[in-house]
Amino acid sequence: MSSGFLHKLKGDLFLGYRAVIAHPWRKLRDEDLRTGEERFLANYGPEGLLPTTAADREVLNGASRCIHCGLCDAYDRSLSVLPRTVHLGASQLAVSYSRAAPDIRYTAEILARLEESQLVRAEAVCPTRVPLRQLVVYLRRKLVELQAHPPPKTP
Amino acid sequence: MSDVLVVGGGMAGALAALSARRAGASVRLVRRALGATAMSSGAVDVAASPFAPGGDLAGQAGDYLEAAAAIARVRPRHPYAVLKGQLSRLPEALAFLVAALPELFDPPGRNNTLLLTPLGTVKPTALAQRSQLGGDLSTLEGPVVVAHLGVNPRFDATLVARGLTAAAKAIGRELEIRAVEARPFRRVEDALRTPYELAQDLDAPGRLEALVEELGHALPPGTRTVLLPPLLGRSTPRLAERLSQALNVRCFEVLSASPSVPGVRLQEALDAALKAAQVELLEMELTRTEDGTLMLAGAPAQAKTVVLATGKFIGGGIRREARFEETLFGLPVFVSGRDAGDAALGELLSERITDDQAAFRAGVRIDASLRPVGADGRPLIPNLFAAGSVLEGYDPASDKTGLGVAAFTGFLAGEAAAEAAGSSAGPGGGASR
Repeated sequence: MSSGFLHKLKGDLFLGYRAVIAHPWRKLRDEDLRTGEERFLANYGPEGLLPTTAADREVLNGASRCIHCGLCDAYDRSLSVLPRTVHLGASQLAVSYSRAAPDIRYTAEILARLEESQLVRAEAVCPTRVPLRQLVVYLRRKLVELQAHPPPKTP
Repeated sequence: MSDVLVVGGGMAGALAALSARRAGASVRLVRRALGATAMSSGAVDVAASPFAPGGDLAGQAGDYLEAAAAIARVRPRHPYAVLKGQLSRLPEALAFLVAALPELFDPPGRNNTLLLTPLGTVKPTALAQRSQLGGDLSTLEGPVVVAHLGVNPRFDATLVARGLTAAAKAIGRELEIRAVEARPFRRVEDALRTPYELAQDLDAPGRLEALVEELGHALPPGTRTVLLPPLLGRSTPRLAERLSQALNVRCFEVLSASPSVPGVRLQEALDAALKAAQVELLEMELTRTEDGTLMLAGAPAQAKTVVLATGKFIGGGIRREARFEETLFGLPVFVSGRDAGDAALGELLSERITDDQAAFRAGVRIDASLRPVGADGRPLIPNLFAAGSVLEGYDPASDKTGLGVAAFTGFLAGEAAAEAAGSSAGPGGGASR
């Protein structure tokens, strides 16, 4: 018998032991009755990593169509009422604000002051049909979800 | 029912609508969104000699009509070649555009002007906005000052001045060129504002005077010409002239990269011309049912003839996902003289950015009457015409014929569509396949 065959046999036996004996035994003794999703959220929620639903993916696919032309910024009416220290323009919804789930927390002030109605024209001129207003709705929804999982307090 | 339905509202679509109106047709223009015209430099490139390499500025500054004729000879799939029988009407198309947008353009000369870009490179262009035109390298009067406006991070006056110095030397001109900084935008927040906001700011009452005062302090004595970032008014095309009068120095803006204030200015001027010409302008999605009926807001979009001016990849007229597609009628897409169909993208693109990129020339093939045709040269839909960058054979972003082809083919397609509508059977003659 070759050493490769022995290695494979040893590996298969170990996996079999884990599946048939070790894992069921551990589950029997486990007192944590939380579901997998609950455990996932407990682990990753405070880091801002929440499950991405099919609806989320659809909106984010729309954001990925952005070609960074900046035309929406030319027609973003919110720029005339919000300071640049709060909001940098409609294009940022696609290229920045929705880019990373953990960073959505930092858009709280923008979302509190941004009105979807001010983005109607900006969305209409977008050559690639980025759903700017849907992105605002998505960000607001994610922000609510994130607020249920606050980040750990730093010492 | 309208006589002519134009699909697409950039340069080609707008010129098609305006020329069809001039021919007496009722015109409805439908567009989904803005396209490449609003992202353009704001100037209209018609043609530069195909025999003058990029560095040969003197060669590129030649007669653009001769250059267009030369392109027609050496590039058989270029729209100028397909329409060579009508190429003598190119000046008429440009004159029509100038007449439609008198606030932006003066009638062009015969030769290309050489205009500076924000990257410090030079671009040959036939028709520039009045605010850009005086930046022509061939006629620029020195000493020249390139002015940086305060905190605007998108414009580097030193870079532009260096490019201008090299370009002037290349055409044998000795110019005294300096970069200076003026600070009309003083707030820290101004660095975060979009170019459109900065331009709009300069439109506001009292802001021109502030800019005059700032530039007055910054300009060295004896300055004859000032080149500024492309921010001279979002909707005030004559701001450069007013600035020149106030300072008693010739002031111009350089061409723009995207995001482009002059590009949006051009698009908005076209929209205003459409409105003035009583073209019905609709901003919504046009779809096509399986039986070929064009649908607009749930109802058939009835028209005797249709002009397809939907653009290429940015405008959305041509798409490539698994294969190249024309997105409204499903017309065949050609590239490099053959049906692009399932051609692998790797065959049509080069890794080197400066190489020829055939994929960007993909588009719809037309005959000399601007009707989309198949590989056998026969029209696919008799009452359909096509114009602009949806066409095969040219890359609007790189081959220095971009908006020129759009204006020329739009002008001709609008005329042809109006004429066909006049002789068509009327209701029931809508484009279908």
